[in-house]
Amino acid sequence: MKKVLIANRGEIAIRIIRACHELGLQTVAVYAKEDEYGVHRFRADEAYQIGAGKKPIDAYLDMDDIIRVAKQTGADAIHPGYGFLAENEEFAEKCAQNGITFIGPTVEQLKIFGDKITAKEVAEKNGLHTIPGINEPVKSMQEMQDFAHQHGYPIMIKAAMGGGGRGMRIVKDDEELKTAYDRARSEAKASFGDDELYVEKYLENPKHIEVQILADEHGHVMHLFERDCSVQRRNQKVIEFAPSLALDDQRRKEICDAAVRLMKGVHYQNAGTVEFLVTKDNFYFIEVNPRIQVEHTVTELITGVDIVRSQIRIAAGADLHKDLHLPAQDELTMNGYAIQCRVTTEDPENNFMPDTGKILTYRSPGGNGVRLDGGNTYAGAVVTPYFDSLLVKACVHARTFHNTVEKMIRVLNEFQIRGVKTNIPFMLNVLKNPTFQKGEAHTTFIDQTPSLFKFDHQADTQQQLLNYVGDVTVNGFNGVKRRDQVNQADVKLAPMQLTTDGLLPIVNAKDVLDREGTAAAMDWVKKQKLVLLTDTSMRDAHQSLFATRMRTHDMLPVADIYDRALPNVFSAEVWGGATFDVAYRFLGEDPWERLKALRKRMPHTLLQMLLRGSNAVGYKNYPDNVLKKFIDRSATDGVDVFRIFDSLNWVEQMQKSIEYVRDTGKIAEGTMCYTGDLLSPHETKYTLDYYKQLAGQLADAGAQILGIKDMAGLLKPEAAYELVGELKAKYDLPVHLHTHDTTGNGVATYDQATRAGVDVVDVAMSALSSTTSQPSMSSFYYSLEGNDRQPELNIDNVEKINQYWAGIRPLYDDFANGIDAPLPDLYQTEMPGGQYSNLQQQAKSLGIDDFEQVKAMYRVVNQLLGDIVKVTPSSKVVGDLAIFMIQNNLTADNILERGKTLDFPESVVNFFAGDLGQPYGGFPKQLQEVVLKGQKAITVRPGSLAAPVDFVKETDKLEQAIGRQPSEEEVISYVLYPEVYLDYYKRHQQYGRIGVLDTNTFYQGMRPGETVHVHLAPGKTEILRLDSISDVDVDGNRHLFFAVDGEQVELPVEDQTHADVKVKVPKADPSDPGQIGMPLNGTVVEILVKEGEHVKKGDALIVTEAMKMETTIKASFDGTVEKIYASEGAVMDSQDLLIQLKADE
Amino acid sequence: MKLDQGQIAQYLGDHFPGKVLVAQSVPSTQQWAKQSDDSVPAAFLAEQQTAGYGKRARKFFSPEYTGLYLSISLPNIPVAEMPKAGLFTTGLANTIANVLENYYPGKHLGVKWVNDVYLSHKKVCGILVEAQMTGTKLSWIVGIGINLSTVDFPDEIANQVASIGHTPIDRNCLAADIIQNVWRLKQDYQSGKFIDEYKQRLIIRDHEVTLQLADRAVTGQVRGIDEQGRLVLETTDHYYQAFSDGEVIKVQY
Repeated sequence: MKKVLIANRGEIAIRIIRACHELGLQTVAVYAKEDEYGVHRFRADEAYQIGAGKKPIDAYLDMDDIIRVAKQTGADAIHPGYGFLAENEEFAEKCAQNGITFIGPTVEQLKIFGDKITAKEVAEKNGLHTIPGINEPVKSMQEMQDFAHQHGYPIMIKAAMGGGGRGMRIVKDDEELKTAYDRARSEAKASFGDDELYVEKYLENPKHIEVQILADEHGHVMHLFERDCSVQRRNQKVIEFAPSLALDDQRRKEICDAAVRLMKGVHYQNAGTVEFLVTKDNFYFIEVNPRIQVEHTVTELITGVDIVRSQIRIAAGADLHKDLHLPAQDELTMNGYAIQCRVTTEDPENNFMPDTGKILTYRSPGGNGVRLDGGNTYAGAVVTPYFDSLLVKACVHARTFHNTVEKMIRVLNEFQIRGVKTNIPFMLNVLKNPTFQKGEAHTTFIDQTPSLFKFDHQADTQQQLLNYVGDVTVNGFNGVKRRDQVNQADVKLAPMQLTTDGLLPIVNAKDVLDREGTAAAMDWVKKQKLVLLTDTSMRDAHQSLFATRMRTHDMLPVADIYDRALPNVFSAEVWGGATFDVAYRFLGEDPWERLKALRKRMPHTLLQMLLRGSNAVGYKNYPDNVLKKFIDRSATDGVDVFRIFDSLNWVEQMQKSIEYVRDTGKIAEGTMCYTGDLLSPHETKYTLDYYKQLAGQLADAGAQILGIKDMAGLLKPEAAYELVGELKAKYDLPVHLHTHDTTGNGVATYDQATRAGVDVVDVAMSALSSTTSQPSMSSFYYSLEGNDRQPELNIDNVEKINQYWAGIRPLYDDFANGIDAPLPDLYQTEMPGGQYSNLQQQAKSLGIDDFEQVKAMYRVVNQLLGDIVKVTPSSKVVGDLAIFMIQNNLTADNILERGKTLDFPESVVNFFAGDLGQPYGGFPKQLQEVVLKGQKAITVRPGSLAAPVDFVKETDKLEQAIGRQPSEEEVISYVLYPEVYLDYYKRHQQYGRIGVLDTNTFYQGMRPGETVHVHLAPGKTEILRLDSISDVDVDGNRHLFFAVDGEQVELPVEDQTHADVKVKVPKADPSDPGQIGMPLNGTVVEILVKEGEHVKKGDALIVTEAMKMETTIKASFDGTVEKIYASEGAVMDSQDLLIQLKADE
Repeated sequence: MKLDQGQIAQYLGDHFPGKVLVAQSVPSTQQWAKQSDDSVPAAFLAEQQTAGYGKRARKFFSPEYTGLYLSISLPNIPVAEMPKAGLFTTGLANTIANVLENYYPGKHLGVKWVNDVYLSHKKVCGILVEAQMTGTKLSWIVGIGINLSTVDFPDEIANQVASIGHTPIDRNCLAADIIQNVWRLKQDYQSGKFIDEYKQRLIIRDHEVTLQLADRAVTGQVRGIDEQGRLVLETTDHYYQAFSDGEVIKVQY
């Protein structure tokens, strides 16, 4: 034998080719057209297409064509593998007729074992038990009962016309038989139209044991022990192993000997397998597979015998013992255990439907005791639907069954296959199941164990992050301009002198709070001679400067050393305000995770949050039970200081929050918003007395520390001196001052407040300070040089931390508000800095370019509304109304009259309706009437009207939506922001832990040639390099070529910047009446003609739509539709060519 | 009162150079207009439409006597005006809302972009312009359907539509008013001077809406319309976009 043709494909073809090459034989492969890329074709020495024009599977069944190729190439022998023509006696016959050796048994043997009846007869003749049954339809119940008594219950009644599991009934005893018989008859008649019944013994929980046989042409037949293939799903083998744990030595010998006896009885040749169903008491022959089997591998592993090699040599005339040197049967031993798992693209969560597609990543395992028999598996391979879904057979071999199972689990986990689904998660479930591990799984094990179908859904973090980076790289980040170059990504914190953990000599506010409670902590604060600081760098600073966009990733390096670098800081403001909303909506981050991460890293620093009395961190008025839950959870997760305020300074809306915070044992800072100018003689509303009274109300409400929130930077230095002085004199509470440096006097104000005895002031690190943020920490520190209240600070550490923030800030340039100088005119306008640029933009987009006009109107509106406190959301009311008035040419004089017929902006209507609460001094009645137009206004706290939320119901709803039990934090977020939270959740499922990406990559994606290091966990870094980005392909995708930890990975990404389905078409030539162009920018609605169609003048050709105008374009002459460029649904520009008409001659 | 061709013509005087035709029942006045000679101006009215339709062939419920259904043929539109079409279609809504308010004092009519006329969250008037273009010959056929006092709407639309009121009005006078104002709008819509008034009527102004585009949906706050009649949305912080196509499918009131 010199040349072998392999009449098969996939892994078995490769297996046979390998054996041939080891034997020094030439190989010829055949392939169907759809298998052009089949690996087996490229591994063989020669390869030829067969079955041209036939369906894929039929190609491999084209006997004549295969023989043709064999003859043409001079192949001596054909190995049929398994499946296809392996058991086809006609094919074996044809081979013989053409002088080609068929590597397998004789034609006669194929005939015998191809027929279930003859096979059974032969088995019985050779003394094997077969499953007892009556071969003809049963005529009476008595006959069935007799049978049952002879062979024992349980029995199976089968409808003659049934099949594939239908029309079968199991009967356990005589009693049951009485009713079962009649029922079976009538059911059969009803379902199949025929009431013929057969009876057979039913084997309960049998094991499927098969024996490998090897026989030569010289009469030697031996077995190579058995395989256990009981692990089946719907009668398909899933996992096979050898030897079986269910057989003791004696049983094993009985079964194997029986198999040999049978095969000897027919003078069997070559390889084959005898299959049995084995119960506790007996074993029953089912059939013989006269060919090599898929799971032959495990037998090879435990015996060391190469079965395929043997097959080839046997077919060439070799003797088992003389030539193949196999030991005598009684000297054949088996060594250890082997398991095979068939890795396929079947999706266990989609009913095992085979997945198709391109394999994007393929990494296979290896190592000691691992054998892989692969098919077409490599990165870039396309899995088609034409053939079976087997990717690779993973086999392992070890000394004990337990070790073998462990090794297989390791091997399956090591596989990394992306691009197509696999059945690996399912097989892992089976391998980990105790019944399987004891070797006790029987044929119905899988079908009867639903827990095998529960999957863990471990997120593929690497793939998710890659998907995210790919998406941002191609499609950008909403609202961010794409840059060609980015600022340096790796910003590090310089080493600094840190107070060593455990030896903290300093007692700070956090220590006292934790040890002795809030009262003691507040006493401690009051007793401090030096002024204390709150660091807003991680909250208000970036909220003010760049739209709250700072990501947790950039905070963590500072948080890690914070306690030890700045132990004297009173508190770090790190939560609340807009951070909650922005985290979910824009950063794809969980704000609770941020809080917990910071708490963990900063155990010795008070953490502070900003809370709006009635809205917590949301935009609606929530019922009290929601506030309580939110506050409780926040306190548990790490907030120590709750700064509570109300946008109208209405204490009634702060009461509940203060109460709830006190209940948690944490610090409640009742806060008043500062507005107006208490120094001005013209100030009639917001006078010193006003604030004193307000402070009294806050104290009565239970505030443990008084906050002054100067959101617009209106508190002038002398005013600060007066105000703080009076408050300190009158109330025995610490005073905490917060200002914004928008008007440029921040440090001066703090200096005066310090002189007056203020306890704590809010500052930000220099790089994140000034203009709309807080005054600079260092500047303030230096301003008190020589003053005996100068705060205690390691200014060196402050500078080092500041350098870090200075490196971080440019990463957020895209969100900067554009205010780069003080705005002292705000003393007149009283517009909070955060609103300034927003309002400017809002006005511009509506055509109002003169911002001075807007500012002037803002002041007018403030007076019209009764001079209210202006902070979110009350500031929005003023802004919206100002713009509205400009747009509608309203003035203070004419608004009452003209406003009667106008619909006011929603925010304004809501304000007057009492949704924001009751302003100090009440509503201006006339304007209220005009705005509300009869709508009722409330006079009570809106939150008191809200029905309490049913948290049990909400938890259920959320559980439904996300498919698992939610945490308490998740439920709270869902209650506060249902849609935003669910959107975040969906995105999180899709992209995973995008928080670990550096900020540049997060907002800007990557550029070709760039490398980023992604720190997934301590000690676990991924190196990601983007090599190139392709153009958009015909499907609208770009292909990104990455190297992940050095390995090439291709990622297709849908390019959505072209998602307007803009078709690239030429423009219509206006001088050619046959070129029909788009009349204006719009959408093609309907194309009424086909290419080649003849049209007459006036016939309608195409309908387009834009801005509620539907245009029907008609032919202006008789002619033929030559070409249609447009497609229905396409969005096209004016003059784009739609149709080319050719006039009749 | 019944529609009377003579009455309408009389009210119109010479403010409209075309014929006025009135039918008892037609499948659709738009269809009627399209089937007629579109090289001359004309107005087509019917008491009842058996197959009234609006945008993309959606049904328009047109029972007799309680509504006003008409189509106005505007011929000889210069093709160069097509790119401004959006200004015309939005202008129509403002014009018709103005006219109607004269007949129903106290009722404040709003507009939902592009040109649906609304009264308190429900649609009371639909407007569709169908252009017919053959080479450089272009005509605009303005279709207007108004629910004046209709009460029984089919279930599937009952939640979205309403009628304006039950004050008895002179429908012939109203028809004439509309026809002549539409004719006038056609002459001077390009000045865009109605935009401010339109913006003021815009009921979804400041609301968060979801706009369905060709193959994606965009959500944002409505900030107004621009000089081309396009809808301006603020989709994320600081980010304003103008849209000329799309349908508002969801409004957060």
